[in-house]
Amino acid sequence: MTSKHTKRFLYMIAIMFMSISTVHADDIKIAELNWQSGSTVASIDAYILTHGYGHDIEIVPGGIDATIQSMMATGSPNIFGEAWTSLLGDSAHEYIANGTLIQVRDEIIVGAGEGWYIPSYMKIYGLNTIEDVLARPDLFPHPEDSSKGGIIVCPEGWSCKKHNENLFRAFDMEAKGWRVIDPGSGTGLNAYWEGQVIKQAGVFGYYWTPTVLVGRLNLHSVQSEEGFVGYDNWTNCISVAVEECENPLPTSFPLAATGTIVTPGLDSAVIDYLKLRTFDGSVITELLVWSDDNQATADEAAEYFIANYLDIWTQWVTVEAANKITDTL
Amino acid sequence: MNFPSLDRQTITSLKKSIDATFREFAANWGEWFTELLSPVHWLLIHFEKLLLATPWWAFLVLTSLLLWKVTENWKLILGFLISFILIGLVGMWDDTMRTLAIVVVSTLVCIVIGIPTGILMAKNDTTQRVLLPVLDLMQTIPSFVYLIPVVMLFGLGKVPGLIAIVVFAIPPVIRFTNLGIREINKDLTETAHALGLKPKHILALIELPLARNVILGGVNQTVMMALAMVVIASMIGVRGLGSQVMNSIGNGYLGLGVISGLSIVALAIIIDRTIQSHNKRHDKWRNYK
Repeated sequence: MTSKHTKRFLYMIAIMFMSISTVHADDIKIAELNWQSGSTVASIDAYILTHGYGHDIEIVPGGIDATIQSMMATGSPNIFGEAWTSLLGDSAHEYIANGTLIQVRDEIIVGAGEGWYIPSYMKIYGLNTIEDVLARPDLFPHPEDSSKGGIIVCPEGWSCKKHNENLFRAFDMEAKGWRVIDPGSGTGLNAYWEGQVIKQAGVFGYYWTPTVLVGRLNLHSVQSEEGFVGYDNWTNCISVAVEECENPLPTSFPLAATGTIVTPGLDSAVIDYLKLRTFDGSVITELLVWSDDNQATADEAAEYFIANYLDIWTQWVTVEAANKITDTL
Repeated sequence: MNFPSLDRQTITSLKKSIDATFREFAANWGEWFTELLSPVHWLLIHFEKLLLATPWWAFLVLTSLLLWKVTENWKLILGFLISFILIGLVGMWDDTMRTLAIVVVSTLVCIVIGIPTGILMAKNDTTQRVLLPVLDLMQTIPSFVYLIPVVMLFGLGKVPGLIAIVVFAIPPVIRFTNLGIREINKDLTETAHALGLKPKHILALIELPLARNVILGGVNQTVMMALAMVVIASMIGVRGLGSQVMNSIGNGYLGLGVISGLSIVALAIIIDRTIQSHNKRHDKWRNYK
């Protein structure tokens, strides 16, 4: 192909994409993320924008990478409701910096993130911080050596494996009588939490919110007395391989950065709504547990939310939109 | 046209009632089952500790002697020494010992449960009719289906790993024991019976010795399946070569995958050849008589 042909071909492709991605006032594509809270947030957005603002909504399924790549390359889907911004690649952050994509707000889910958890029934021992827990290895016997305490960590191959290994060193847990419990896989991790809580046995270790498991098993995150000691320690030591992290400092896990990312050209009313829309972590957890109990789809969860959490979502929308939405109930 | 399935509500409540029943069961009986299997747990932990504490040279010498005693095949011993030295050189020694420990204990459990079950099946047609589909189920049901309930009952680690391995690996030893005894010429047992031998003597003196090679063939299959299951067992926290394989999959380490995979293969080939060689030697000896 000559360069002239190449150019013409590229123009053609560009025009095709532009025609696809042009946003009409009544045609918004919402990314439906392939994790529980992500798809629930997408369905809530769809419900509110459809019934409150009269938009035609199309739901586009996808994972984090597929969604953000598609938004960068084609400008579609238009709304990425619950984006874990730390998991987006560098190119996505460049696109946000130069305005090709817009991050309309952060903290979509307040309190989302990873951490160390204990079940609520362990609270009777007065365990409120990581340090409290670490002082009592006897309450959390290791399955293969009951003289030691066991902490359940991340499976091999997950990036949090390094966090857990380094924090184990940072808190000097070996000297305090602790050993790691290796779950082997995500399946093992879930089943272990579930099994131990059913038996009301001592269990302490890694999980994350917002998840059904944390809600259903009523797990509480425990923080370090030091708090979160900063990103220098976290990024340059806790997150790297054990050999490269000489002096890890004890710290809480950082909160996850969640944001809503959109393509340019959306209605200002839609943007106003997205700017106000934020969930408390506990609300999302309640929704997830309800969905799980009723084996409901994300759409059904959205309807449940609209019907039962008026005090929350009415703060995000105009009075007119709120009236229209309540009329559908 | 869609199949007229039950409505979603009914199916949902069915699934949920299975969940709830199992949770209740795990809550009430989890401790009891853990207690019940604590001797096996003790054996697993201490056998692994023993293997890990044995100096490598002592392990090589003692195992060579053992292999000589059961096979008198120096080529096999040479193969064993070369492959284990290679395993040690690539840093897989400890993981190989861990895997060997759980495979040996699992195989013992399979034999202790499997051979009596096989004998029962051979003696009793009803038992055979009932057990055959159960064995089919154990061999074909995807292991993930029972992995989760097993972890909920027993937690993570060696005991649930052993259960997963035994469920998958026990069918051959049962089937082969059953088959080996049933294949024996009826004339022999009838003659023995006519001569006044009691059933338990017929079993010990005639049936088991004649079925011996077939049964060992089943044991061999069981060991192979146990080794194959080691990778799945590592998904619920069994350390060893399997967890290295999982590690290599999780991180995309091709080299580690090859090394740990080949270590499993080496272990399998040595055990397989040992049992075969032992059978051959035994046959030779019997033919001379």
